[in-house]
Amino acid sequence: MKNPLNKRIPKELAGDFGKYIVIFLFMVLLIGLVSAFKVVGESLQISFEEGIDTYNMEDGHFSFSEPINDNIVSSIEEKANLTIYDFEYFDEDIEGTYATVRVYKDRSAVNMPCIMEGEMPEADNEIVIDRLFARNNEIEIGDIIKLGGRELVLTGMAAFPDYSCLFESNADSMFDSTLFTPALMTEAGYDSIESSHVSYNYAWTYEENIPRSDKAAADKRSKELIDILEDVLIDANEAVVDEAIKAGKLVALSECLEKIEEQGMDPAMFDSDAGREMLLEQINKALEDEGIDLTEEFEEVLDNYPDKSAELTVEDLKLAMKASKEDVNAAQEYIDNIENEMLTVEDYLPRYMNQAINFGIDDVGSDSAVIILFGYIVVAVIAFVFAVTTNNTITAEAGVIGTLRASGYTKGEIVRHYMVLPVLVTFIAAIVGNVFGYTVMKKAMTAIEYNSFSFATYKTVWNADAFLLTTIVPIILMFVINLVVIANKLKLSPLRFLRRDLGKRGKKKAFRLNTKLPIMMRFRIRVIFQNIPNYIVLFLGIFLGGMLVIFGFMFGPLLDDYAKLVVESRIADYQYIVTNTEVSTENASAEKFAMTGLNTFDTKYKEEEISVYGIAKDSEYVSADIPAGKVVASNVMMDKFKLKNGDVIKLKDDLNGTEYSFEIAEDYRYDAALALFMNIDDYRTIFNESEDYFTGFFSNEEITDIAADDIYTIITIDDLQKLSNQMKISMGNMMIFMRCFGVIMFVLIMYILSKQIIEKNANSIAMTKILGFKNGEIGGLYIVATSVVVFISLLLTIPLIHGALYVLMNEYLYVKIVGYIPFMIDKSCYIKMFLIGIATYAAISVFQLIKISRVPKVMALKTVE
Amino acid sequence: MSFIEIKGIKKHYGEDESRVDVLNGIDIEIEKGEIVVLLGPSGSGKSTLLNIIGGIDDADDGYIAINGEKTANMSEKELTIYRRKHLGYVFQQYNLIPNLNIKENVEVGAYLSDKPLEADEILKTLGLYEHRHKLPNQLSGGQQQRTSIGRAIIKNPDILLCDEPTGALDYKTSKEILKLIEEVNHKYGNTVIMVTHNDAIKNMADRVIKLRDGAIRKDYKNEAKIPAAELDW
Repeated sequence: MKNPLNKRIPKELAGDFGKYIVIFLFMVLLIGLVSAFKVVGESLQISFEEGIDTYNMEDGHFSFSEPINDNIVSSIEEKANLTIYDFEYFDEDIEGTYATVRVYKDRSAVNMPCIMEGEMPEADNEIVIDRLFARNNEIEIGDIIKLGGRELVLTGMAAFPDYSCLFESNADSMFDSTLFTPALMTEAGYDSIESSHVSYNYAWTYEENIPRSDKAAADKRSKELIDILEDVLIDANEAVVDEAIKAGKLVALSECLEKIEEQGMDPAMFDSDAGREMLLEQINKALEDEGIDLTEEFEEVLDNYPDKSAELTVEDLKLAMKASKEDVNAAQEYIDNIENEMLTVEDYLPRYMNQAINFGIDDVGSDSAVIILFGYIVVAVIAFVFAVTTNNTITAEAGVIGTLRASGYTKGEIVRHYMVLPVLVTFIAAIVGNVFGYTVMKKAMTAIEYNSFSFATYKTVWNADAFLLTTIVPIILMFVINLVVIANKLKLSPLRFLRRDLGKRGKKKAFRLNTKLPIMMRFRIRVIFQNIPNYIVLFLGIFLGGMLVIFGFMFGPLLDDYAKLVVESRIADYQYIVTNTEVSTENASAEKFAMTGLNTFDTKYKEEEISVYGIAKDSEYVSADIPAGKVVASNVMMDKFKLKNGDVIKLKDDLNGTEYSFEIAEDYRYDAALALFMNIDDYRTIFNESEDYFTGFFSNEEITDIAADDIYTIITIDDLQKLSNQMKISMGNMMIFMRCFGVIMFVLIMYILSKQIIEKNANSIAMTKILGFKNGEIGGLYIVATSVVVFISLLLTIPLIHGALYVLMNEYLYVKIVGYIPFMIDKSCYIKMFLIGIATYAAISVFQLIKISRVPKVMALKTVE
Repeated sequence: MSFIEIKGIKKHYGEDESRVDVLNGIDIEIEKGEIVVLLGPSGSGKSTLLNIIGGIDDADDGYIAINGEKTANMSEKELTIYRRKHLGYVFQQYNLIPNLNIKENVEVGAYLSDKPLEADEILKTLGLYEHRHKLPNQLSGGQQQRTSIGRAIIKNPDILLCDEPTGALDYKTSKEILKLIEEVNHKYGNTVIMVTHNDAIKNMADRVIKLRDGAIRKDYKNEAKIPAAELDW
């Protein structure tokens, strides 16, 4: 025979429909959210992995100072077991804007675009750009884009697999989907634009794939490739080096011969072998003693090619004596322009280090763990809500339970009976929530991800893990929490149930209240103490809901504040990075500096690039007292890595593997970036640079006397604000979502628990009615008591939320993102949270007042129990 | 050997100054099928004794044996099974489940038995058949108490324990309930132990035990037993 108590279940459900439907809907929403997040995240991950083959995603790319010939390509391919693709591009700004378009010549074999809307370009005046960039700039298909003096028609919007996140440069702290887009034209269209910002870029794919997660293997393979590239470059530059050596010798010998002639000696006199040897010896000595040096470039060449002897020979002397003035000038010119003659690597970026490829997909993956954890915390709170309400029901039904137990019902049967509804509601909510998650919420979640990142299309992948995590685990949570609370409540003997003696063993004496307090106040205090378990759960719910609301509000002011800080603490209005050290300017505000990027080690925090500056003595722009041999660190760097004065930070150069240690003397206020500052002399020594080496100029004025070709890049205030702007855009929808969820949580917790308090006290309410209290007065007793608790909870949770979010930001957000935004919660966020909480409770109070007015007086008379 | 053997039962509540000795060594033997009435004023220990017989309270000393099976040696689990198999309980408060109808409330008792009696037959016996689809709050106190008796007897228990079954009822309804208990006893042969402070009820009993201050003051066979219908007070 089925347990007839089960017949109660649907009646119980119908009898307290309000409570169950609110919890059910909330759980559907919650589980839908978690499920959608997990499914979308994992589907994107799988699609990304599949996209590596589908779109033939690069394993990396490098660019050279000039196009490389087929021999070099074959040589690298053979030695490194990879395939190289010509992946040339140019950067041009859309006319009249600061938006940079990176147009690729050919993407037919590697990094093939996924057309999201429209079609590929066919005519040479057609172009395809990134979907997200187009949307952010409100560019539609058919619109005209002016680029490099041409008017191009937008025919399609695409997702480029090597730009799922729109990082213009890998050194950028944040991507920018409003000011940068990759693009594709036909080859003829590409050739029709004459750009001065061409990059001779090449993508490569290895013959053998390694898992994306195996960073160590990727790192090892990357280092091997760097070695191979070095060898290949040495071979490729051999002829240039030979010529440079010859030219260098010619120039040096000519200068020596001139000096010998000035001394009245005729070089021709030394026609004999012995004479020539003597002359050579004298010249070599003269070169050494008088510092008649080969040019710097020549020395560099020699340094790099130690097997090439610079020693002068008789043959060199013969050539020098025969050389005309024009020959010597030509040789000097060759040496002066040696950099242009040499083939060098301009950029090298393996896929595993490419933020444009990895940032988005890593972000999607890492978020799901936090969302699931958040989901579990909320389920646990709901489980406690259930447990508290069931506890109240058990108290109300003590007599029945006592009778059943006395009649032979086991404790287990009663526990199971009270467990059915919470578990059943959770189970159905989990199923419906999953369906909801896979349909409606999936679309919302997809919109959030696609609002931040330029992912290609994906197909939903059924995920057993996601189902397990969003169905089984919430049910287990609900089951365990309710089991513990209900079993604990039901462990009392049948007799105590019959006597309705459900308190702790040994009856507590009623605590005394000062009789000078008005009776109504004492009444309210008693109501509060009588409902402590309800209020604990209420407090927990307000804490969680409040945290969500604050989280939803905090990023707007935080990012605005950060943008302000960045501008306030900027080093200069402009930072010009130049292409060579010959560049000079007459601008009085310009000050030379040196800069390079070094990487942190991948420890607790994500590996990221630190800007290391060499600052001129008595700098106008960096007013820090930098001791020799030490560095000062930007305040954000100190904050993020929890550094203090005297700490030593280790950084590495990823290109050559060199490791550096820097002792931090003090911090320097610079909010825009993680940066170290040292004296420029120290910089030159540490990085083995020449005495006059520099990278660019700080300036508060726009410098107009440097040729565009000599400027590598200009960092302006807009660039410094990229991080905050982008975060605002990408987090916008999620923040609104968080706010709504927080408010719903407020409503749920406040509604259910305040309803419970009214129901629990229905007899007393009926009795007070009989005594002659008006509904408003009774509301004043019960609703005001809960109002006080809500008010105090809202206030008390503020410091707790502040602390919790601080921990969350430090232990999660800062670990996950590159860059740093100082933690700050604007007071207005707390005020908003507080007011929302009060408003929510005010609205719920109206319902409770109605509920109080509906409690029949006869209840107090009828129920003798 | 008697069906129910109660030997040397002692029970106290509280300690030191607040110690109250509720039962001071009770010895009773009850035969199968008897209607036993436990009489006594408030605080005499009759409900405590009933609860100890029912296995929902422990004795400090002594034992209860049903068919030779001592309850004192039983674990909580075994006690539950003992109650399930042998006992039916009727209380002054009916303790019906408010959102189950009358038939369902009776079936709650049937669930506990391997061979329960027919619910509809019980409802007819109790005069509740036509009310079987109503909820408890739609019935009078007497009808609710009859339902609670139905819930207790549907599993055909060996012993029916009734704690002040008419305590919350008026005269007429009380008599109906007592008639019903008597009828059940005749029909199913259960042993009935009924606690009451209503002296008149002793007249329907086979055996009367009077308690005062935790001790038996009188224990006698009622030679002048009358049907419940003829009771008057």
